[in-house]
Amino acid sequence: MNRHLRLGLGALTVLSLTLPTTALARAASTGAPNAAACGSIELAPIIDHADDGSKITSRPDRRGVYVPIIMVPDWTGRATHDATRTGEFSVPLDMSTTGTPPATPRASLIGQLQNIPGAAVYTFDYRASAGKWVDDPGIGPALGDAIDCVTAALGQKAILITHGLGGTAARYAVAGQVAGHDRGNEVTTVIGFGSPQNGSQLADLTNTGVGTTASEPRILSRLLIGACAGLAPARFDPYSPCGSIPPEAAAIGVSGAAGSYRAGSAALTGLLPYPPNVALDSFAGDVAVKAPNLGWFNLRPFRTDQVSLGDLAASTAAVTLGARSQLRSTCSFTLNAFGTGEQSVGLRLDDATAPQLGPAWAGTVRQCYGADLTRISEFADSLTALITKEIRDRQPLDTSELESLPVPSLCGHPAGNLVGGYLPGIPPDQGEVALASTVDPSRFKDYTVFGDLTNDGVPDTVVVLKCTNANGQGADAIAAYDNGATLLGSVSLDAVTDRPRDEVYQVSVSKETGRIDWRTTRDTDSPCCPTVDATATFTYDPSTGGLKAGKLTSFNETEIAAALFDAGRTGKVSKKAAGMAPPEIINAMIAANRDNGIFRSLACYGPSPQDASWPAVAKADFGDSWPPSDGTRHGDRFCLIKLGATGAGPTYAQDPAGFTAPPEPERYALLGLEHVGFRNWMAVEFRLPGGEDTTGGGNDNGGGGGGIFGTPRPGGGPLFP
Amino acid sequence: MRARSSQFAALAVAVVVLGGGAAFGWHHWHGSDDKAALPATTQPTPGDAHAVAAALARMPGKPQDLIATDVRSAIGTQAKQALPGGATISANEATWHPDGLGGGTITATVSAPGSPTTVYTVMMIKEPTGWKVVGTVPMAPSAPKVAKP
Repeated sequence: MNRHLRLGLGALTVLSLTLPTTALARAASTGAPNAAACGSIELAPIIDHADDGSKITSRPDRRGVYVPIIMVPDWTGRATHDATRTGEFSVPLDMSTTGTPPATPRASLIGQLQNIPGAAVYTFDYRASAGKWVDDPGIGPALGDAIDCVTAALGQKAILITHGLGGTAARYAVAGQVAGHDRGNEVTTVIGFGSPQNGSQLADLTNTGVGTTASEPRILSRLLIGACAGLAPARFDPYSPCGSIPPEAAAIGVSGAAGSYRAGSAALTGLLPYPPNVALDSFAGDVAVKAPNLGWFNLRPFRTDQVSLGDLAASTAAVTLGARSQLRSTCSFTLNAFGTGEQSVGLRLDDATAPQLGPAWAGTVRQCYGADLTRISEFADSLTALITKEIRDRQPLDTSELESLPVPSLCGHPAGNLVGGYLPGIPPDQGEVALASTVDPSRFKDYTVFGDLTNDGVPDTVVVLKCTNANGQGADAIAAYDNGATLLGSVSLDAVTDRPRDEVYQVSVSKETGRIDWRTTRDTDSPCCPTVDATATFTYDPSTGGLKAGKLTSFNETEIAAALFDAGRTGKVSKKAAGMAPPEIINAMIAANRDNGIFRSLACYGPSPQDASWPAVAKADFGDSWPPSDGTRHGDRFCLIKLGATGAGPTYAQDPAGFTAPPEPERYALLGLEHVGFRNWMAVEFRLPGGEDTTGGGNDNGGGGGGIFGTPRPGGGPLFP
Repeated sequence: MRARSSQFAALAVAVVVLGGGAAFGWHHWHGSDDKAALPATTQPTPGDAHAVAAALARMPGKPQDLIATDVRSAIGTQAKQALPGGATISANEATWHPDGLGGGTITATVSAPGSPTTVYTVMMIKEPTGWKVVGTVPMAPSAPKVAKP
């Protein structure tokens, strides 16, 4: 499938009713999306049972998505997963690195992977191109197209599992053919079973010049192949040395791929390296052979004590080259030859740990041979762990993990691990440290956010922590964690504002930068109600390994109060003003400016008991203690509008030159503003000085003066959007 | 699970085979039908047996001419010590088995006056200048006994 077709996949999916053969569909039997539209790969059917006998059920991860895992076989190209079990990843696990096989064969490698939540296992079968170099249209290019297709369809990067020379096909597809045009953004990990990075040991036999490696492995490999040939026409288990190595030698040694798989070949050196962000993991066979009689007739010019044959097809060094992690399965043999001049060579590979197998080496499967690596129980367990971790790492922390997070020392409490969302060990009267989303689950999305702060391609988690001390005081903090719940850093908001009380509205993360919106206090606030909104960014600082808060920006009621003031003075109601006050208040303000005294200036105050800067005249008009304790909300901030003389010009700016305004009595109207969210205020009442009234109507409740406009809300706590 | 026991039992007694069984093809491997996908080989064939045997027969005169490039540095100038004086080499053409990778193995008997006759498996490779010896393993006259586990 070319890229144009791939780009059209989404549309084709929508049109699946009319174009059923080109759309990905969800397989009824498995739940994972099949790959009918993705060329050479197909969704592996479930034919295994789990090791405990239960049915394997394909299921998405907790995000509801599947991660594509593509199985790329060795040179045979056989990967189709069916009841014949001839696919290279379909054989039940019946071997062990220790040589002691499982008591009963376990589910195949594919079955093991299918049992991982979020794993969608696909097989890439290229048997029609078996033995050819990876640039064959049916191998590398086809695999590349399939990767493009399935990753676009599932919206997830792929993981490739390769066997033998399937690793070379994977490299061709993932690294691409032009530098900078790779599939590093589509593939995260390539896990090889006996997949050499720099050529096939068997292909090295075609090197008739001086090899770059010791010649002993090549000599012994040729000897083994010759011995297998001498046993013809016997039929061998395809996973035994004589069942696997000669066919591979024949396939890759022929003209089409001759020399291409050999270390240093032009074809191989022409392959680009894997993109640096693609991780390699390796499982390797490691056959060591003592060959005391290996020589050149009477000469003994070779090292014969421990000749490493790798997994018989690829050297261990080539298989583990560049691997992030590796596991090896080893065997040790002593080689002897016997026979007469009339006979082809008879070989024994004697294993000190399994001496009875010596004569039967040619047809015996062993855990160290390349053909058998996909049958090893421990390798499968390790592979499963790798895949499980990777899929897990792509998911944010879940609720139980959030409520068990480690937290730093906050507001005098020591660091520790949350239990059920709370830091244990704090006496009841000494305050608490708690996950904000546990305290108020309805605001989970405000208090918990997932994003990639560390730019490692994996979502991190940012949470809000609530903290109070014995006095009931304390500031919120934010803390960031990687996908393994490791604390990346934290910011206590009192350190940003230098104010003791800070309460988060919301936290967010976008493109490595987080943002906190919160409210904090000022000296003139009443204890209940912080009235200053603040915002700041934060980033992860790899140099310090912690979080770094950016510049603090704060907001108060001034902006909205000024908009209402202008509306009253000009009679023109801006959209902002209209959204912040009911019409009756705005109308009353306009009428007051017209009938009771033009609006001269505006200044806002906290409750008068806390704010000593209230003008004495205003306190005399509205009472010594404003707001009154009458069970209603009069606002959090109180803006006093200085009133001029009735009928005076609309503004000083329009007074004629030389005009001197007559002395005006000091009078104030009062605009009560309630803080209802981040940068959000609402006018709840407008009052004129005592004894005055307006034509705008009102509901004078006798609470301290003249006309009252608006409806003071019943008492209550702060409002949030 | 696949049944392998019968194959193993057969192989345990069939490791040594007569050279007459040399006519073979890799298409016998595990009975797969995928053989059709394999391209035709241009590698040495059973028909090269005579040429291989002839090259070995000429070796006592100029052993250095049969050093494979791959092992030349290991053997150095010692090629003349590789065979006893007056040695002759007789290779059994029926035991020639191409390996599909440019070479093959053949059974050869080295005889020399005053020296015990030795049978070798000889690993050969075809280079542009002719057939070369990569290495040898002497063949014991009979199979060692199977050790008891």
